[in-house]
Amino acid sequence: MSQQRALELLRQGVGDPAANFHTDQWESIDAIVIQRCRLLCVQRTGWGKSSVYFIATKLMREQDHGPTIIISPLLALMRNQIESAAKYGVALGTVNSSQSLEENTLNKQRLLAGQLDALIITPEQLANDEFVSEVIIPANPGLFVIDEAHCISDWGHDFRPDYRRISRVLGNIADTPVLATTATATKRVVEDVVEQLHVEGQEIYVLRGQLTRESIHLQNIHLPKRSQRLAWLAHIIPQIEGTGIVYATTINDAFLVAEWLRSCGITAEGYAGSIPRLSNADSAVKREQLEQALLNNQLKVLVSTSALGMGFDKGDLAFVIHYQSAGSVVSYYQQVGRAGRSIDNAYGVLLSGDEDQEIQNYFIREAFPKQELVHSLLELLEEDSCNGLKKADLDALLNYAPMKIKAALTFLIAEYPTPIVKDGPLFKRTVNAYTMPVEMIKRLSERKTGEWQEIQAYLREGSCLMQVLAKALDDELATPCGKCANCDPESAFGLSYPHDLGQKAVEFLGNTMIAIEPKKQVGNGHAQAASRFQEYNFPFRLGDLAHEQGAALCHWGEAGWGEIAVAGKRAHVFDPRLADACIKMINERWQPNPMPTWVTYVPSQNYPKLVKGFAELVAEKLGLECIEAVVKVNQTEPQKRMENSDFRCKNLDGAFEVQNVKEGEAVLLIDDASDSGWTFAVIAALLRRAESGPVFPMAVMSTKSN
Amino acid sequence: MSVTLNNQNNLYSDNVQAVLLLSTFFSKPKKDEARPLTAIEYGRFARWLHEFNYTPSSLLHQFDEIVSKWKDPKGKITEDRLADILDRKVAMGLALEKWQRVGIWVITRQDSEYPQLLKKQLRHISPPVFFGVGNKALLQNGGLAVIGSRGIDSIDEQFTQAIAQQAAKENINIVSGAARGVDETAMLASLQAGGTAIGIVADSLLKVATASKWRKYLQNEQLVLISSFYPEAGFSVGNAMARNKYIYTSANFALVVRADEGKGGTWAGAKENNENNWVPLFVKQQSDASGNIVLLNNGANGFELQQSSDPWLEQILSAAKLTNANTKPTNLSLLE
Repeated sequence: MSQQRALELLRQGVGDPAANFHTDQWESIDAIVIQRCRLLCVQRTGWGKSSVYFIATKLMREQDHGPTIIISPLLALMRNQIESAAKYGVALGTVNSSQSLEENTLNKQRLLAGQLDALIITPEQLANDEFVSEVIIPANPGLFVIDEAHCISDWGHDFRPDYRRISRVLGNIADTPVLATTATATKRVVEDVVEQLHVEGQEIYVLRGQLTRESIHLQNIHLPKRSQRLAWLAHIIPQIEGTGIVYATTINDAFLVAEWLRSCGITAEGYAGSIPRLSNADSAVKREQLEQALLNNQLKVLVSTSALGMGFDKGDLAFVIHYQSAGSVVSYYQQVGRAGRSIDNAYGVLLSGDEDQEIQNYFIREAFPKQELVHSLLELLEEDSCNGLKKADLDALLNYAPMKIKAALTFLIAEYPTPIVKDGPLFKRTVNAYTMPVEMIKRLSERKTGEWQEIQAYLREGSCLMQVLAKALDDELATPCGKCANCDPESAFGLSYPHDLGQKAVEFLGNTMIAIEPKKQVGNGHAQAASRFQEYNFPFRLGDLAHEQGAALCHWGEAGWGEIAVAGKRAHVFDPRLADACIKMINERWQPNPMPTWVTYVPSQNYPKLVKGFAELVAEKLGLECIEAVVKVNQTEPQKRMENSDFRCKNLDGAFEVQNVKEGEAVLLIDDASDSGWTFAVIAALLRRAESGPVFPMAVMSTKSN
Repeated sequence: MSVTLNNQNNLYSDNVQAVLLLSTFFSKPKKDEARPLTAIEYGRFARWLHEFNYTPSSLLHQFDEIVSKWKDPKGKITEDRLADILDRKVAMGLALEKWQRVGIWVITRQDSEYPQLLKKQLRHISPPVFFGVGNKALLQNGGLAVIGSRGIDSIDEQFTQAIAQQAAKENINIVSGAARGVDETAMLASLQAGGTAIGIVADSLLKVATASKWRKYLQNEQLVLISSFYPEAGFSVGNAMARNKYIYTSANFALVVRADEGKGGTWAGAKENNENNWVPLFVKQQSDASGNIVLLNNGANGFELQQSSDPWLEQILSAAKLTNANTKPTNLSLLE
């Protein structure tokens, strides 16, 4: 019965009456549907795991089992997956946070009414108790599919707390088949995942195929400066036939590189988990458009953070180039392994540069919440009278960035037994005693450092690169690949690029401009506005008191102006070239309208000469008057120590007074650095109250991190 | 006994799983869904299983054999219903994980940690499962059940607090329902005075387990809260009435602070206690409550606060008599 039926479904699903199963595909379906076991499938991208789980779902539904729940971290190309599932006769839906509320509600209803055969969700949703009680439990699922299963293992390169919950839950239910899939796993990770998913009374198997791809030509190139790598990319990419992906480590870098490539005539777009200036929902739509554009060959290059991963599969991807180093050999392989699935020759180049170490250090530091934050958070929730606090309350009471508070909450909720639980909008303390798992955190941080050293070694590797990668994955490659830059140096890319392209890149980096968006509101309502500004009493909607769009010249510390600016701050005087650069930015890129007729600046109690001197210089070069219109009347804490809006506003409240304003005249308001923009917002509002014309804020540096 | 190893945490034996599948909801009941067995239905079925040398876990391995022999005299526990409720493993796994995370544990009748007093009294209608949070060991302490309505005046409030404080002083455990009013007053007063308490709740154990008022005492091991209903059960009058018997039977003595004749849970519970002769009943004297008066007239022990530095509470309680002169059979066989 089943094998014949399964083959029918395969042929129907791929639209080819002569199609046959790849190695291990039928065995996987058999293990799940007929033997009702647990299976860990370690297979490279493109092997066809979705065929396996769609067919398994269809067969199980035909036997009256409950629907399949598919757990996957990031949802690429949902629309395509839904269409693909339909070809197998599987009605697939999804519930996730980037979809609209209406769509989510509709999908939930359809699942409960038995109209959906499978539902894709993210691991975070399994942590959502309400979702579990109201949707998953009543649906009585017949099969669980865990995508990117290596995330379960804390031996893996991508360990995620929410995945721990999955293995606990699955540990409670013997008899239910589980299919776990991954395209990257070392032996140690496989062992670990198997142990976590193992349940007495149910067999668990591993089916492992070869992970390495023979068609990829690997190469490592060290180019210390960003401008060098930008020039190299612009030079080489047009010479490669076909489409590809460039990976960057940060969102800023991804969009910067995309903009650069476009300025050189290459069709490129940036891609990240959250697209700058777009809401969650709009980001999701945009991401889908970008993925589709690359699939349709409407783009030459997609420049992305690691977000472009799971689920994206383009058979003829000709190159995967890393603009900056990956964090580990395994994640490098996972990304570069996207290339060359169904073509004979593809290129995987790993560029490395000076900034890699600092970026990596940042990620290692920020991977887990700090003990002081967790301690303060739990203390608040533990108070005798506390019956739960909302996120907004926690933000107001804790001097930490909202994102960090959110990360701490996510981390704590995934702990077991958990110290906190979410009940509606409220976070509550449970009875469980709690200490941070310092040992585990230390171990994981050390492992991350070890992985970093491993990839540093890979970058210096002299022998066959493919063999090194294969070994790191416990995939044996018996003989050298013969294709990589070490095996066949003749075939490798050169390191050089035209000199003027290099110049152009340097200029491009120097011509940056970072927008400073005006804040339209000082709070989410009258109450919050009043609590933040008890002295200034700003209306919660600023209206006319808001400033115009402002600009910063560079990112704090970044190559080029950023480094010069940081040095200037330390020396208490800015290099005059920065003034020229700012003026160039004003005239060529920013072009404030109406052009300011006077200049003022933000007074500093710790750096009195720095900003004043700079503002006077800029004013002189622009031929404008510089007026000391803003005066500090209260001592305050350094604004940079204030970690969230509530603290920032309260620190600024009543701190300044304005004088000698030129009424009705547009003004350039200068500061050395801008982070959240509250200082500009507050001072601009005061200037506007004193009848000044439009206010144009300008900072030398932006310290907003991304 | 084969064991499901949940490597992060608990061992749930087949037997515990089977008992849960038979008797517990895991989420809000849907309209046409098969319902798990009530305590009474469970009792009936479990007795039959025992007689035929089966255990609940047998249902997981010998289902066909069992249903071929079983026929419910009341016609409610059908083969289809059993098959449906036993098929809820995934739902059970998810629900258990959710509850365990916040510190809720499960005990069944076979466990030594199950309240033994209650089991002796109720026998085959003792609930198959209790969910709970806090110090399990307290469940064997017996003590004084304090019972009364949700609305109390300041006189009754002071009375209740005084009793509870005296109980704490004399190391007498308080048993109550954790509801607003008399229950909460008695429990909190005892806990605040360093005493212990058992709270038997009729609904929403999950919410209660994270409520600030109990948290400190749960963490300090002074308090245990249990429920025979699943942790997310909502309030229902039926459940509240049903759980009253668990309050009486977990204690050695009971004290009614305020009852209205003929209506409400307090009255119904007291009547039930007397009909079944569970524990000696005390009733607050000098009360205008109609129920108090009737109960006292029908033989309940009168109760008044004493001003003495001696352990007067202990003395009063041990001098008590059962309301009905009939004695109960003492020869009980311990059931599953």
